[in-house]
Amino acid sequence: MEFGVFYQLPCDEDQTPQQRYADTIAQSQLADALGFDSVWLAELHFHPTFSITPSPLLLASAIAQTTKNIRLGTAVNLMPLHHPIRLAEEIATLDIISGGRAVFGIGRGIIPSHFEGFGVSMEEGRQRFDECIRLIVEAWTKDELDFQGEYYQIHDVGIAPKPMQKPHPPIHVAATGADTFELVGSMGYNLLVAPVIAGNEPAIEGAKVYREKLAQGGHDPDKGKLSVTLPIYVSENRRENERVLEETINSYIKSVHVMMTSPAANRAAAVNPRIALVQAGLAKLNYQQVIQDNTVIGTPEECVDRINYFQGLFGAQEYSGWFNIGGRLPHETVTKSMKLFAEKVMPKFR
Amino acid sequence: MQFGVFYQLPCGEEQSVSARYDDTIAQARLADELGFDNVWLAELHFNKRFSIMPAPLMVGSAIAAATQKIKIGTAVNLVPLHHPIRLAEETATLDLLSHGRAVFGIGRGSNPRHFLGYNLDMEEGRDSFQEAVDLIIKAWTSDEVTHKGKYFQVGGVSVEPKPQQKPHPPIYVAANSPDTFGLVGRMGHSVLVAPMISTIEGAQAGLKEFRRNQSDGQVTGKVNINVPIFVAENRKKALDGFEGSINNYLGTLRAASHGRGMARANMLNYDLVDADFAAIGDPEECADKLRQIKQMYGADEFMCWFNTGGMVPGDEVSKSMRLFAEKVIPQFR
Repeated sequence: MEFGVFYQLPCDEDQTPQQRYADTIAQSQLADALGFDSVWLAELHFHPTFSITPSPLLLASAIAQTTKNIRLGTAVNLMPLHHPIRLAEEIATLDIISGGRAVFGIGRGIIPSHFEGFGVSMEEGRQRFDECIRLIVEAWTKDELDFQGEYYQIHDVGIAPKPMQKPHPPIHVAATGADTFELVGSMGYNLLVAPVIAGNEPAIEGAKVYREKLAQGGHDPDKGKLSVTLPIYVSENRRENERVLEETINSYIKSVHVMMTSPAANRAAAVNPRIALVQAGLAKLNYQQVIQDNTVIGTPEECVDRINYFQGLFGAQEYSGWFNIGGRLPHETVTKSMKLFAEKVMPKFR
Repeated sequence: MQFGVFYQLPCGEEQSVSARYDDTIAQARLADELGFDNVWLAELHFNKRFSIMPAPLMVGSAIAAATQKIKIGTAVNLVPLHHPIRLAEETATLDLLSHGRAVFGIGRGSNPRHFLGYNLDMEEGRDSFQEAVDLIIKAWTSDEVTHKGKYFQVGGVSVEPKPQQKPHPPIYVAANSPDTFGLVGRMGHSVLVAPMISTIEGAQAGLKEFRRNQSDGQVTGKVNINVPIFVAENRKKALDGFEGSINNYLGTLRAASHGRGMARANMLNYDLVDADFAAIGDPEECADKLRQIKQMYGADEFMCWFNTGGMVPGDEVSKSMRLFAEKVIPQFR
């Protein structure tokens, strides 16, 4: 089993972006030294209390300079907000400057203000998404493009550089809605799931659908990798855990509510069932439910049990620890929890 | 007088892509130690022999993590190939990651292949430049951005994070065509000039337009001149050391068979580059040449291109950079 660390990087009024970035780079360096397999960086826009990483590939480039082995993934680049050719060039660049450690995580996007800020329609959906992935893979693997799509027609140019990993970096697709789980399976890519966002039951059902579609699409189900992102907090002091986490998880929930009840979100939910569903799910998000359903919290022994429990539900190949959901935990608290996890929890699964 | 180092990052068939990137980051680190003011990184696409750097802001982030003081600029981001909101976000991110060292160098783009590869119309792209730059400045300086323009529509969002430098990182615009020089003057930004491409007369006439078009009559922006440089113990060593690489640069431009660069490369050869546009020689000869170039254009800054063509081995580039920093730069400070 593999383990990662995940960053969404909220920044409250009393925090500074510089310090939040510096902590993230330092923690990635620590994760590399502790033997974590990957660091995953979100791409999110326009809501600083939710996230200040609109440009995860820049942050990853800085992390590449200060780490040796850890893989550098996006979780996720929001495909509809990018030009696919530029994204292909950027992932290739990260792959080169990290010595072949790039992981391409992508998603369709579920936050309506993102689309309004970039002047992009949310309705174009899966066909465009599918075309963009095919275009990116072609850009990585062919000397000269000969691409005739519905949205893009590109001929007689080739990108430089090509990625270092051959044929190309691994592709992971994030899913929250049922149709996306199907799509990722039938296309044969790896799957990223965050039960805090998708909900446990839909995520479990989605993972099942994903594996069925993999097999139906003629892909080897054993090669489709499932990566599950969960808030993780480890401490030897049993009573400390929930008290420490309450503030930061509540801060996360509050920022989600602000974002998903924005005028842009309400407008989108009125016409887009996928968004309405996400909005309804997130409206119910509360501290008790997150703690009970979606987290790995406790002493090292309790965390081992908890991962075994999730493994029974998901049968995942990777768990990615969201060690500072909400971003309110001090840097030293996060590093202590990461160290305990690496020393006392991870070895039980290797 | 400020001195920067410039990278366009060509990669010949016998060179390794990784090694070219590693050399660039190592040389940026050296430039930082030697007291150069800037590292400038080009954005170019779809032609490995000419450049393998489509994403200079990512290389800038890697350099930020490896350096302390040197400013990190793009020379240039091709604005029509970017969404302005994303470019604002990325430059702000670089500014924060580097603790206030980002420099926003931009251009309108003149290579048809770039637009072809991005499936974009070149005339529209060039026309949208000013709207895009205004929108980027708005994104950096306003809490909430609403924009209904000819080319871009943005519906009430807070573009975050904001850059560390207030009100925003310095803006430099590359100018080749006469109308662009005037536009940069009117906008009040600094100007990046490559006389080797725009010709001596073109650069001088353009700078006249740049100065004439300043809105308040006074020049607020800087004039930055790009100069290929090779410093060695004596002129023969320097001339021999640079010849193959400059010829590779010119040959690559000619082979590209399109754009302004090709037309220009057909008029150039190594002797002309040496005589009119480059500083090649021992430290004294290079200093004299730079004094001459400074006077010709009224330069405030130099963008030193130590590896035009990319064929000079890394250790020779470092040696030339060291000699330049030790014996030439002090004469201008």
